[in-house]
Amino acid sequence: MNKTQKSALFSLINFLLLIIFSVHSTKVIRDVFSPEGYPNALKIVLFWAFLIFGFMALSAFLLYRRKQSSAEVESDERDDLIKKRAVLISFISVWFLLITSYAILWHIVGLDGSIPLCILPLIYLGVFFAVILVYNVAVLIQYGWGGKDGEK
Amino acid sequence: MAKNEVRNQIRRLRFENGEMTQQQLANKTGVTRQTIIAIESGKYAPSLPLAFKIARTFGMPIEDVFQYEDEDFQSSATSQDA
Repeated sequence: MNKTQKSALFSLINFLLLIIFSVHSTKVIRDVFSPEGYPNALKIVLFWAFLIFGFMALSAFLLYRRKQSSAEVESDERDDLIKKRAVLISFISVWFLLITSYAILWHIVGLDGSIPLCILPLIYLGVFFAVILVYNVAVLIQYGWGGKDGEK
Repeated sequence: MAKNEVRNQIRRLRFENGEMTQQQLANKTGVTRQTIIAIESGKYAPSLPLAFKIARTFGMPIEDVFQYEDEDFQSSATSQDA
């Protein structure tokens, strides 16, 4: 696995960990403000913090460790091509996701309906996260998920 | 649709050149080992400068290392000859 591939894989894992944490935190967030549930909620939050930051530190160590040889290159023309294609796919997905979400909203509330103001930034935030996911998955698919890269 | 394919002799040439490893060839041509693997297996067609670099590493003309197979061109050339 080269640096680009590792970076995409680590980003994807970190991203998935953050999503799981976000979903889990909705369950414990109420306990944080109650004196009875506070110690337990703190333990859960600390567990997730150690897990996520631990994985980030491990990722950084694996990504930026010393090269085996000075002649070894970190990326080349193929990596650049893969990154360019992934950016293009991400860009297309931005439009696709925005149009889809607006169409769904339009379908739900109708032409004369109204939505709370907070929905719009939430849509942008959701699209932003989805684009990160799309970029990393696009990079990994183009490399063949690491295993099918013709390595013998 | 016609099938266009760039074939190569890199694997054979590596072994004929003192069993050169993929990493050694990658270091000499300034690319990653994964790119050499992808080129060898025909999954990636290198750019012209990289193809020349690889050919020069083996001390051979580019045509001896890479062969371009174009069914459309071959069939039209055959019909013109006839």
